[in-house]
Amino acid sequence: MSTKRIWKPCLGVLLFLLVTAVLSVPAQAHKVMVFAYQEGGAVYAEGYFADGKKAQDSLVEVFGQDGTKLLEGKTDTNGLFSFPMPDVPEIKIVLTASMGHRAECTLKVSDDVTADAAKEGASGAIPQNETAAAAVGEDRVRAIVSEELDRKIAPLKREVALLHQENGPSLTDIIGGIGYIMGIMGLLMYFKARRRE
Amino acid sequence: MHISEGICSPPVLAAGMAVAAAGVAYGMKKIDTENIPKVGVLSSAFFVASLIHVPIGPSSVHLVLNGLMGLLLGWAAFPAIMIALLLQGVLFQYGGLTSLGVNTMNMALPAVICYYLFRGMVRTGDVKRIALAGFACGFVSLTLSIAAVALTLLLTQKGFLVTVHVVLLAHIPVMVIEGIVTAFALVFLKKVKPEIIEVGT
Repeated sequence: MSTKRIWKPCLGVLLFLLVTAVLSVPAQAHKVMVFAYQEGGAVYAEGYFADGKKAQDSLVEVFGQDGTKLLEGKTDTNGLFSFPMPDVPEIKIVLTASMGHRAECTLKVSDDVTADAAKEGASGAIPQNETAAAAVGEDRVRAIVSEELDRKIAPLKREVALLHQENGPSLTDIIGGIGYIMGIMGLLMYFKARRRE
Repeated sequence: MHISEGICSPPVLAAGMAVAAAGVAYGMKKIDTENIPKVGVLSSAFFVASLIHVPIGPSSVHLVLNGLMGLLLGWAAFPAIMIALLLQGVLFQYGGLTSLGVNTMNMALPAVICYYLFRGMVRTGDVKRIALAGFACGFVSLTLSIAAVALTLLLTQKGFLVTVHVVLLAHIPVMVIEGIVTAFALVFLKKVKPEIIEVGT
């Protein structure tokens, strides 16, 4: 009688722990994908699984063209990881999720904004004469416009990146795959039958 | 379940390739001409099962069905699984070509183990025992597969051990579902086409 009374809550706690443990683990099955885009001076890498779930707490490594590791970090709860744009023309982003899932993508770094900003900073420091002042004005305008443009098209860039992201396999893909399997089995049958003759 | 390219170290890949090649060769020898359609159908089932994701709570799962394949195909599960994995890799980039061997080993070996563990129970012909064997088979084969994946990763990168139990725990719902589906599939086959489960390969 008394043991029964102890067992019941124990079982309840155990079940609760089990359920919370199960529920607290994010999606870890399936294929993982990663895509990256630039926004202002930062690069955003986003990881997600084939079913659309974000890849949370996944390791993101950033490599230069020559394969040297530039930096690494982990994605947040939205599957996002952002870092300041490295000073190289092209970066490779590798995302490693749990259970052996891995994805990579490359991103060409367009450094117009940073270059412009640098130019502005350098020439803006000492306005010497009339033409220099005019040049400064032009540079500054260019920098502001480019910055503003960047901000305006940021959502668009994101949209384009999202468009690029692959969705799960479509029905046609699946049926095509089944067709392949049937074809392979047919071939197998053919060769087995020939051997017997 | 599908290990991507570039995860495993070369020795692990080579070992997986060797085991898979041996299993496939032996499986091919065991396939009779009459069994080929069965292999094809189960290969297709496996191929499709991994592509259809069923949302459960915050996560989503897909069936693996390697237990069912093992029970019905025996060693022929090796070629059947490899063909399905190859197509998944080529068409959808699930897993990859270099990790094909490792993935085949991780999914087909538990299938064959389950074949030896549960075939006796299935051949008794008693529906209740078949259902029980089916559940156990689905559950055990998936558990073994996940453990195999975890072990493969562990051999490549240290420090993964911490997450192994978490991963196993997280897959408990999938294992139960897999068991139930396998049990239903077997009972259904027993009713409509009993010779399929009684003959084996």
